[in-house]
Amino acid sequence: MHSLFNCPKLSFRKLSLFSALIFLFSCQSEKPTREQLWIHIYHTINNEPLLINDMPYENALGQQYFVTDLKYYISNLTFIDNEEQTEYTLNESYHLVHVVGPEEYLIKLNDLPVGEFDQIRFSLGIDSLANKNIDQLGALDPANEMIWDWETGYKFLSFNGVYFPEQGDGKELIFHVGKDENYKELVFNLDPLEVPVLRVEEERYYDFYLSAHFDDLFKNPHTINFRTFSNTHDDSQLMDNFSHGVFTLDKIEIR
Amino acid sequence: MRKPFSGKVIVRLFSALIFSLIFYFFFFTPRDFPKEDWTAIPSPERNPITTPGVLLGRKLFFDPLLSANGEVSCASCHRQDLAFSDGQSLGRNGVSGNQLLRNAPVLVNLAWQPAFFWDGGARDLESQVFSPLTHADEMGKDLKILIAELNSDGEYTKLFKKAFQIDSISSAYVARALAQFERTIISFNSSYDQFLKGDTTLSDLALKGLKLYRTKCNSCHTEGFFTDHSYHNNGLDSVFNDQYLGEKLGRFRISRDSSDLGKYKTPSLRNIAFSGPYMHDGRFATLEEVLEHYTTGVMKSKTLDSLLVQKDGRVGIALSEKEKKAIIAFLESLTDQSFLSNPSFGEIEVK
Repeated sequence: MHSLFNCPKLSFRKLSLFSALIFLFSCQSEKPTREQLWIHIYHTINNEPLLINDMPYENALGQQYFVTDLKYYISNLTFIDNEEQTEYTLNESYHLVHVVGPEEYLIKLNDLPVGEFDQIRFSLGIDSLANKNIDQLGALDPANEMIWDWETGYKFLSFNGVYFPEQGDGKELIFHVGKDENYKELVFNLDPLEVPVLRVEEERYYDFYLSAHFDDLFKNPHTINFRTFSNTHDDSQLMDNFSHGVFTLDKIEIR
Repeated sequence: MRKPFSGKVIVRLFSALIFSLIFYFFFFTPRDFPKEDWTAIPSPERNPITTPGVLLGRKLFFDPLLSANGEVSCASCHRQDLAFSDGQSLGRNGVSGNQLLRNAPVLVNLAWQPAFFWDGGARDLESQVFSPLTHADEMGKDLKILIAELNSDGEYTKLFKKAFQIDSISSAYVARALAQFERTIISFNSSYDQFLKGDTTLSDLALKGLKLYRTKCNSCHTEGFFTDHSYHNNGLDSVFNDQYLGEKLGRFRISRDSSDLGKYKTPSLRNIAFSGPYMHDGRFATLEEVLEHYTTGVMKSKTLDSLLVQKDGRVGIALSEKEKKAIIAFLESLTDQSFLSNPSFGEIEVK
């Protein structure tokens, strides 16, 4: 480029040809209008959209509670081909989901593996390798307030709320769960969906629709009693519940 | 039509290139960053030590911008003249003025230390940084605010770019720069070290103390780093209760193993004469008090270290008054004057 502009006698014709080439080239490599995969997550409690600081919800024991803040990590999205016995995990796949309203939460991804897949897997939390230190970037940036600084590691789930007992004042619910042993993998069979085998190709766009039923966090399989249990930082029961019935993969769309 | 790349143009371009190279190296060589060999200091693969990184960390270490009220820096509680401790049993130097629950630890030879805090909760220096930086009773800084402030500061954006080749600062790099500087805070030049090398002599009392030290203290405060980098219950208390978020439970707070109740990290004894008060809660003001604890004050509990139980079942370490004096004379030989006054650990203006 430097020599191009230093040369005083470059003809107009050449310049216009050059710019036409640039134009053609840029048309060909035009970026797609959206990322290759959008993961839509709908958060619900008792089949109603999950609202922050709004609805009083009821757990399985009839105890009333509010949700004041809800964040969690989804990580290591993996495409599995059982026939070929191969799998492909996306690089740097750590996603912080912060539920702020009833709208769907969108995770946008590129660089999907090309191939045919019959299972999708992702994890709740941060794998032990990435959980070893917290000076990290992006979703794992400590500024996202999902770290423990006094005991190095990430909160996998941060659920803050208020429980209203029948008598007496409201009581804070602080469920911050992490630690390596609570890292959970979720595998979804594509069998029951309209696309039992997902063919991933370049230049095509995919939408995964997930539901997260947060009432299950407090009942399935372990019933959580807010009266006796309102504060934790490494609870395996909550993480069991979180990885058990909360998430369903409802639909995959291909364009 | 003239060829675009005639000989004349090439010569002109070439000389322009040479001239700009000379100009660049003459005026922009970072002469304030002398090349130093940091390879002898261990560091994680993701954060190798570089001179620009160390100097940036050093600037950050002294900068009160890192606190909520703009008045507290790392150096407020880690003073070089006190072996990077704060001289208080439980400090009140944080932004809230509230008393902390543990004694500010010394910063020395951290590059070789496997875990940080009195209970070893932080797994590396980079991860450790976030605790004092954000704790409401220490620096209380909101990381999002800090990052916005640093990114709008022309000097800092330049320094971070130089140290990490980044255009946008994030909190991870603040931690990495601080960790790089902290790893250079090294003390291996005390009278004791010089004595081992044959460069100096120790007093007869200190030599007697060294002998005693090797039989009575060395199994935990192991020579070299003067710590075994492990956790012990040295009999300060007989019961451990869980008020204050578990800070009084010792290593148990991290391991959740009841055999770790009341165990704390063995502190290094290097520069011990300058780093009082002593113990995780700073309960002893002087070394005399510390040795008095080990001879007469050790309390029994399930997790008391077996080395503090004598064959006849009595607890503590048997020491006469004379022996205590000798041990203290030896401990004073662990003072490293060149460390306490090393100008490369002081506040600097880096531009």
